[in-house]
Order: sequence, then structure tokens, then C-alpha cells
Amino acid sequence: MRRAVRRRSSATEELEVIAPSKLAINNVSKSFQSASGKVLALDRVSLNVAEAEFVCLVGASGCGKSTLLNIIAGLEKPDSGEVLADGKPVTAPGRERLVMFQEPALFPWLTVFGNVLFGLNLKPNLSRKDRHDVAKYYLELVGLSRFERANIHELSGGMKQRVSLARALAPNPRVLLMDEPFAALDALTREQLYGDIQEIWKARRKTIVFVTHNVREGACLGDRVLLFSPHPGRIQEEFAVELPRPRDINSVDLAAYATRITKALKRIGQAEAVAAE
Amino acid sequence: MKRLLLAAGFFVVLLLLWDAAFRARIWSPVLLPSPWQVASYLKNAAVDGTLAGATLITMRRLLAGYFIGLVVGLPLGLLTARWKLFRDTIGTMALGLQTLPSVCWVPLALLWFGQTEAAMLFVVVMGTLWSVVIATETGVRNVPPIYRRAALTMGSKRLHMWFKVILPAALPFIVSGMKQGWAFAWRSGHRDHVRDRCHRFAGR
Ligand SMILES: Nc1ncnc2c1ncn2[C@@H]1O[C@H](COP(=O)(O)OP(=O)(O)OP(=O)(O)O)[C@@H](O)[C@H]1O
Ligand SMILES: [Mg+2]
Repeated sequence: MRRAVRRRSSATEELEVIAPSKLAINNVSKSFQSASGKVLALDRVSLNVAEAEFVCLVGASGCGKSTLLNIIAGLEKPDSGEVLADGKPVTAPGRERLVMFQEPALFPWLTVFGNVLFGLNLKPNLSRKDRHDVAKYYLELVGLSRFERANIHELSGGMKQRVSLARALAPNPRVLLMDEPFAALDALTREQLYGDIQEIWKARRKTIVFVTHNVREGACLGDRVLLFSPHPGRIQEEFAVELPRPRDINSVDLAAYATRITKALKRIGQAEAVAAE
Repeated sequence: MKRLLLAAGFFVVLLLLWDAAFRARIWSPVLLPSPWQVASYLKNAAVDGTLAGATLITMRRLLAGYFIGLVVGLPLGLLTARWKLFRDTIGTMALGLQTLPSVCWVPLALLWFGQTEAAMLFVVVMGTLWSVVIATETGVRNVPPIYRRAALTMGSKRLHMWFKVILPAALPFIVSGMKQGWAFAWRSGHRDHVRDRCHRFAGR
């Protein structure tokens, strides 16, 4: 890989690898009231995610993937059911579970460095130097050390996603929730990021829930790929991907998995909505 | 260079026309003094310090009024953005008062404060305050919710949220409100000045 993931000499406790969380999503339902009536976004969804597992959610637009991520993050409350992180119910957002949002969410009034520092500044018991060291470490990890003084609007789309990733990683969360983080990028940048994310995941040990439209992307990154169906949003099927890592998005074995998953999507009648790749 | 020459030429022609109009004696010299008279008046005023003094007084009055407007307007704007109670009361009032030309405040100011410094300050403050209140409120209410959500997940709450997320995110709006406020202050300040001079000219 291009960048070595290594511990700095000044590494603080912050850079210790901490225990990733175990997630239990039990019978979660959520509906929204809209002008056109009531939408059942999630219908009794249950899902267990093991410590340090990488789970991908695949499904058509509007089937409730973002809603589920928001509920796991604690940003929204389910109508019924519950989410447990390490056995404790999730009732509010917290830095144990950080989100890389589907829409751009970097703060344009801060520099790249300021954005990565934001979450760190909210952590108690850290010296100023610690915070700066940690922020620098993560900027290096995503390969943007040279741009720490840059403004957000000066970055390309791929660089912005890297900063978002660094910002989400910096407070050392136990869970990383990623909502179609690479959807808007070109294929080349995406391929680089697939390598990076697998490497970072291995080095930092996080439980990751990753949402995507792209079957191949799901098969490349996930230990498991879960298929969602819309109206009402439900988990229909799941695939365990048993391939060695790091995985190459263009490998033949991966293509075989992708084909199987796409077939299953067709069977549940929503392949047309999923990126044909 | 060409543009500079053109501009210079244009103003020379204007001056010559002005001078010609003065020489033709169409209007009395009181209504239309010659350009040279005006120039020497300005020069004398600049030399004996009355011009600088008058400018200073106007600027000081403007700045003081503007800052009072800002200091009061910003928190009021935040309150109206945050609580419906304030929006329905102060917000509605601000909306009504902002459209009022500041010259409307002059008679009230004279009535309440008489011909004092306070009266002029009052007019300037009224010219600034309401546009700052409204800009702050609009700014805060237009902050994309995603910023709040992202900050929430990182553990930002209450005061931290206000000072580190909502205010900076709303700043572009607030600044444009401040500019508008400055324009209002400027105009109301000068209106004041003109009225002042007229009174003096009329021997009051
Ligand atoms: N705040 C909201 N108010 C009303 N309806 C909502 C809201 N959020 C989501 N919905 C509805 O809930 C359903 C699921 O939305 P969600 O954003 O979770 O879909 P998604 O799977 O993430 O889609 P996409 O792949 O396009 O991002 C949609 O039908 C949407 O219209
Ligand atoms: Mg979504």
C-alpha cells in the first residue's frame, strides 16, 4: 500500500487501538409522516454486528438505509425496538459511534486541520499537543498532511471524503457508520479509497456499518453484505463474503460474489435500482 | 491608463461646464458658486480643522450607533431564531420596523431626546438594529441541519454548539446583515447631518 500505517513516537493513549463495539439492532421500526402519507422506512429490522466486523448494507434508494444508520448513531429515535451497543441501549448521539454522512458535512468555516480537530477538542483530558498530534496522525493516515492548512472548498471531492474519514476516525470511535461515502467519486479515486479503508480498518480495528448502492463495492469491503428491500424497509437476505484481504475490487473471485448478490437483488425485484456494475 | 485619462478628461469637462454655467450668471452665485470658490472653501475648512472635526464627529456618531445596533441586535437575533416566543414577538416587530426608512425616527428622536447627541445616536441605532436582528435570525435558521447533526455525533452541545457551529455557519448571513446595517447607519447619519445643517442655515 502507498501509505504505511504506523504509530508516531509521540502517540498518546488516543492512538491505542480500543475495543470495537458489538451492535445489536432489535426489531427496529421507523415511519415518517410526509405530505403523501405515512412512509414505513424500517419495518422490524433486526441485525447483529460483531466486534470489528465490516457489514455492508445494499439496497435501492429510499429503502431506509440512512434511516437505520441515523438510528444506530442515536440521531433519530426508532418508533419501536432498540439498538444496543455493547449491551447498552443507544439513546443519544455520542462519539463512540461516528458517522460519515451521505451529504457533505465538513465545516466550511474551518480548515482541513480544524475539521479533524473538532471532535478531538471535545474530548476531555487531552493536552493541546496530544490533540494536534492525533489530528496530524489521521491526516497522514488518509494522505492529506500537505493540505492541513487548506480550506474545505479548495479540495476535490475525493479529498473531502478523506478529510471526512479522518474527522470521523480522530476521536477514536468504536463504531464507524459510513453512508455511501464514495458514491460521488470517480472509479479511480474510489479504488484507491477501497484499499485505504481496508488498511485503516485493519490497523484501527473498528466495527463498520457501510451503506452502498454498489454491489461490487459491498462485496469488496464487507465481511457480510445485507440486502435491503424498500417499502417497507427490511433486510431480505445476507451474504458472507469469504475472501482473503486486502481484496481487489477487480478480482475474478469478487466478481463471482457480485454476480450472486446481483441475482439475489433481481429475485427480490429491485436490481434496476442498484448500480449495474 | 486609457481609462484613467478618460475619467480625468470627463471630470475636467464637467468642471469647465460648471465654470461656464457660473460665468453665464444664469443662477445667483449663492445657488451656484464657482468651482474655485468651493475648492477654496474646502481648502480653508481642511486647513483650520473644521472639516476634519465635522467628519470625525459624524464618524464617531455613526460607529457608536452601529456598534450599539450590533451588540443589541446579535443576541436578539439569536433569541428569535431559537425560541418561537421571541420569533412571534420581537421577530415580527423587527420585520415591521426594518422596512421603516430611518428618517421616520427623526421626529420621534427629537421629541424624546431633543436636539442632543442621544437623538442622533437613536436614529442611527434604529437604522442598524433591525436589519442585524433579521439577518442573524435568517442566518441561524438557514444553517444546514447536517452541520448540527455532525457536531452532535462528535459530542457538541448547547453553548459549544452555538459558538462553534451555529454562529460560524450563519456568519455569512450575519455579515451581510451587518453590511446592510452599516449602509442604513451611514444613510441615517447623513440624513441627520443634512437636517442639522439646514437648521443652522435657516438661522435656528
Ligand atoms: N426526515 C424525513 N421525513 C420524511 N420522510 C423521510 C425522512 N427521512 C427519510 N424519509 C423517508 O424514509 C424512506 C427511507 O429514507 P432513507 O433516507 O433512509 O433512504 P436510503 O435507503 O438512505 O436512500 P438513498 O439510498 O437514496 O440514500 C424514504 O422513503 C424517505 O422518503
Ligand atoms: Mg441514504
